[in-house]
Amino acid sequence: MATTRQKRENKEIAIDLGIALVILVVVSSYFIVHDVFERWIAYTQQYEQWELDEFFAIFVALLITGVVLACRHIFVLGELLRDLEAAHKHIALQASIQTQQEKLAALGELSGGMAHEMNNALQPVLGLGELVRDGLKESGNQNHFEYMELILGSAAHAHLIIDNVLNFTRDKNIEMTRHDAFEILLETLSFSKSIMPTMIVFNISSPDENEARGVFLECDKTSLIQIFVNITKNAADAMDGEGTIDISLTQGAMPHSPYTPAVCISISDTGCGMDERITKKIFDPFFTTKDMSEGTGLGLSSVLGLVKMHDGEISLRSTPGVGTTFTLHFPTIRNNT
Amino acid sequence: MSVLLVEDDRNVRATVKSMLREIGLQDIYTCSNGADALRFFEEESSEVRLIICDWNMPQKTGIEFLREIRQSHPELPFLLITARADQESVIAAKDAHVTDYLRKPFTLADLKSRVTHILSHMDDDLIGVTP
Ligand SMILES: Nc1ncnc2c1ncn2[C@@H]1O[C@H](COP(=O)(O)OP(=O)(O)O)[C@@H](O)[C@H]1O
Ligand SMILES: [Mg+2]
Repeated sequence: MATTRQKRENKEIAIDLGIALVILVVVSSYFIVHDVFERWIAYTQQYEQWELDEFFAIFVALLITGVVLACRHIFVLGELLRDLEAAHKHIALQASIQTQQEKLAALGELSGGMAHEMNNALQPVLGLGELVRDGLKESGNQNHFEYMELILGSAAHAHLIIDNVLNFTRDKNIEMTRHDAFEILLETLSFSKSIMPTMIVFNISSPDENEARGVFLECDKTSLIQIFVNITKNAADAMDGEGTIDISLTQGAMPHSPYTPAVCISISDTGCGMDERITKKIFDPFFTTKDMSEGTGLGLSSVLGLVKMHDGEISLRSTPGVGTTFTLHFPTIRNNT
Repeated sequence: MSVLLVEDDRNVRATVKSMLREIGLQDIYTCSNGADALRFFEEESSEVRLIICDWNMPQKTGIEFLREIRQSHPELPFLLITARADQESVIAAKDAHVTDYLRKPFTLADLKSRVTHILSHMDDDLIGVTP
């Protein structure tokens, strides 16, 4: 930094000296020319001669130099202040990025340990809960059976939150394996349904299913589940926990590379929708419009990371008051190529 | 046919024990840490046909326990149950020749399919688990 400042100072001084020199030369040559001109007039027309004083010339030259340099320095100063302001803004931005990163690092460290504890704590609920639920179903106590469904759904949600945080800190095991595309998508979607509130209906259509025999998807099953659970959970929230989520599975191509075959999943709700101001931010980590207890703001940023990990693409259309459609594309592989 | 279950968290230990009972395994020994488990194993190793073990435990971690077991029993089925599933942990477990691992929290169906899978690769059919 010091050397660039030094350089800049030297440059400014050089410019000042240059300007002063030019003005001196211009002014003195003007006086000389003027002098000669006067002498010539005096010679031809016998006029009374006006004597030019060298000191006056120097005085005028210095005056002009002073004024010009002063103006220039005021201008340079303004420029300096602007630079300073820009530098200040840059530093402030860096600092906020730094704190954001520190926050994330701290979250990562904390979550690693916390996730272990939380997953342990959830083991009894998820390990034995289903058994109790099934028992209640058989014994015929419908109310208690439904309570148990709620308890299990909530525990599964807690597990999802932990997964989202872990996903964020990459403390997660990813196993990419090849599956029949439609089969794995239908399987993971129906799993996602199983942990939704009971008032939510999934209306799944897959018109291309028969045609898509022998079409494969390279994917991590847990990640697919996480993607669908996050998107459908948001859809359910947008509809206040009650309504139909329309899901369609079709074959097509990747939006930005029309020769790459792909499977396309679109997930639509008829919920509250979002305006453009919100849609711009929904993939940002920690962005949420929900209460503390309901949203972490990590759902869609996890989804985005997972979709990218699968070389997929995600887009959405949303109209406030009408609903939202998320569209996912994943590249597929045909037969055994 | 006995199973040795090693888990430091009391609730989880009781849970997994019940889950194992539910899938038809009756003879279950439990230990709450790796050191105890090793001592138990040294005395009763001929009984034990399957070890189910937590990763994160005080004194001796699951993976340390696994390494010591592997010195004398390279083939004994060892199912690691762990809440950690980051890449490094999985690689470490594989390097130590774990038979399989299961991520916590797991459901009864998860446990059943893993255990069935492991035991179907064994010669004995002493157990009431139907593959
Ligand atoms: N289907 C949807 N309809 C309306 N708003 C949505 C929908 N999906 C996401 N959002 C908005 O995006 C925000 C971020 O979503 P997400 O990252 O999953 O975090 P969270 O659900 O924890 O708030 C939500 O708070 C909500 O405002
Ligand atoms: Mg969400």
